[in-house]
Amino acid sequence: MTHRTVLLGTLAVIATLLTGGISPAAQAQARKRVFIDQDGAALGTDMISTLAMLQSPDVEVLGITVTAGDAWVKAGTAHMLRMLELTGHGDVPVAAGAAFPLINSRDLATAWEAQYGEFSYKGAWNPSRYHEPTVVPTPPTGETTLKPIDLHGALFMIQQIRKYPGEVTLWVGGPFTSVALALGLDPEIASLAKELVLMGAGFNVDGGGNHRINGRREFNWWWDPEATRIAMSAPWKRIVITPVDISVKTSLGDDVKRRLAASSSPAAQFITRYHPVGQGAGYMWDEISVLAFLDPSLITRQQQLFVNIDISHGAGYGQTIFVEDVVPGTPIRPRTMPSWWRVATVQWDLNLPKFYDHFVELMSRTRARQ
Amino acid sequence: MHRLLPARLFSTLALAVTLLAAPTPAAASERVIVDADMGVLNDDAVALFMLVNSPAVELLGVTIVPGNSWAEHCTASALRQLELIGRTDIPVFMGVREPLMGSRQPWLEAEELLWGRTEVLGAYGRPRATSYLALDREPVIGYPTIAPSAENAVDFIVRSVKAYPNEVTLFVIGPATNVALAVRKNPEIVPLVKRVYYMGGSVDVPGNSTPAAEFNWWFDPEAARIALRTPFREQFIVPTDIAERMFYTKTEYDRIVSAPETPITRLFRQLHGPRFEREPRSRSFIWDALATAIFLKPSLATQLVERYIDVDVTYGPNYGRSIGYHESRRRSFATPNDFPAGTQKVKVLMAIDQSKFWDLYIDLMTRPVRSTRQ
Repeated sequence: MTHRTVLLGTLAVIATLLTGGISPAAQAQARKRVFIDQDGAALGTDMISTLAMLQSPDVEVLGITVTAGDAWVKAGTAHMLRMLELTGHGDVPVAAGAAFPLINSRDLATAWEAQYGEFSYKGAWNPSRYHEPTVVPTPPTGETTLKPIDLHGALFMIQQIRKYPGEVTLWVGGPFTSVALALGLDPEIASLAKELVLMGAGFNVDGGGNHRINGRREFNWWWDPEATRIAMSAPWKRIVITPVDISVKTSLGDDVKRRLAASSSPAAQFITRYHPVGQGAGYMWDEISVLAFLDPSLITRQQQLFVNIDISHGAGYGQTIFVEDVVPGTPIRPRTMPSWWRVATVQWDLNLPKFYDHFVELMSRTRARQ
Repeated sequence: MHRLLPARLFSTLALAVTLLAAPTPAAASERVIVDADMGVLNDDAVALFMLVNSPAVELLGVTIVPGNSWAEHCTASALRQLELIGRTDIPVFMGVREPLMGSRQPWLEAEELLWGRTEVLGAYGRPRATSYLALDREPVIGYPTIAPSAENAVDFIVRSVKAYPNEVTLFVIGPATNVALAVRKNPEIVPLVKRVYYMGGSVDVPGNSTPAAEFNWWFDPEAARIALRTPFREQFIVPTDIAERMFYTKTEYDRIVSAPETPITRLFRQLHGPRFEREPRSRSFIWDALATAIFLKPSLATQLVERYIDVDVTYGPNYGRSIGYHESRRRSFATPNDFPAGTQKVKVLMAIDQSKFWDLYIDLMTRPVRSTRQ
């Protein structure tokens, strides 16, 4: 905590006391500062979760880095900008981040499949919709007029975390490549950030991963295992994980969609337009992470675990590894583990009705940002 | 920093050569088992014939391992050649049908996508056969009329070592799969084996199947690792370091076929003749023959070095790579803990008296075939 922050905080308290209410300045100060790192499928969880974060009046989104994963980075950035444009958030700066995983590749994935079996999902490498990384097909949401900022996503992340030392929540909804690059360039950002909040990893669920029978091979982490190792071994003050285990308990179903369709907010209209009623329901992977960040009471069960990833190039490449070494109510014992292991809070269960209510309420807001 | 290194290394080498090259002539009744991925008059076959024709050797049997070809192909080759040279009394045993971890043939394409084309494919270049009598193509020397023994090669090795404790020498001149299974299944045989000769590994040079690995150890890395880490009394390795510096040419061929005809020289004429007629400058390696040669005549080995030896079994581009640990500033043979836990010190052939080697080779290939066991 710097002197400046303490001073500002003190001033804000004084202002509140003097005015007997919340001044705009104090309100801005109270908002949580978030930097977003996402991958950018044109529709679905990447866009909707980012939108959820932007819709919150309690959050100041400092910027968005788009990383390759569900889509290549050029396409993903175009998708992100178009979504912001359509939903009235076009003022949020977006930077293109890492284009390729550190080690993993389409060829490695192909060879892995020949040896161990087919993946059910490979993001930008999915054969059915594959295109070259330099190509940007016309997004289903249309072409954007917005442009990304002229700064690499990893540098943008460093810049914003350094701008507000100790205050920035880094929220990661995609692979860790840009984060790993940022940590390589500026290792101190891990301890300078307030916390790392992410959707990724899988533990004890037989479904929902990118292998038909193995939920431990969760897509975001599998896309770039080495980057995940780097990011998950950095000295963050706190790590919160929304894993596949909890993702599969939710769905963006027709009930929720009908409620959203009743709203005229641009955010709700975005969902209604691209996820109409009767068109199937998807897991709300990243949305849970955002909503639990906004209201931690949504989570009804969570656990502290040592969590990391398998980076050996065999059958387990990209699988979540973890150690359940924590007895509830007793302090964790880091001495039992090599120093690169970090303890993360892993979410297991949530209050579903409350989750959907919050989601609909958030998306129905018309004027979210100041 | 390196001031002391050369002197120490040289003295070590000198000592090694003095100690190791000391002749231990094969006694009158050396009992041997040839464990081989037998081909048709290839280096395995020549190694077999060398042993068959050595008066000092009692060949207990030939055990078959997949490698150069599948076990069915190798079995047909072994049986038929023993038949052609009139030694149907030497039993042939089929052992494992695939490497320890299973055949990689179905996804070899994936390995090659990541790690490049494999130079020597062996069995992986051919389809499997259902029987040694039904191969994917008719053998050039015909199918055998004799059959392999019913006993599994692994059990035969175990039984033989127990029947002749401290007397049996194993020639592991293909992948080490049978031997690995034998020592894991019956570890009590380990101290009873007299010594083991391997053809395998590329210790200080690039491999021949991949830039990392030599074929026999690449074909079954886990088995090679098990065998080489077994605390046998004595292990000799003939790596490609020496084996791919020696060439069989028309000169040697001519010496063999100009001798009075025997069933063996007839095979040479029949199988190698057309090749040298087509291309007189044709030449080939004789890998396994080096292992039998230094066994039959230890004084041929002009440089035998000691190494702790290991095989990389990490499934990656270095899969099957041989790793030879020599003495250095921080590793001394006097302190085995300086070397990877579980590895063994072995003797590695690095140089041979070539002219004397070819004399022995040609002598053994041109003698009248010894008619019976002694």
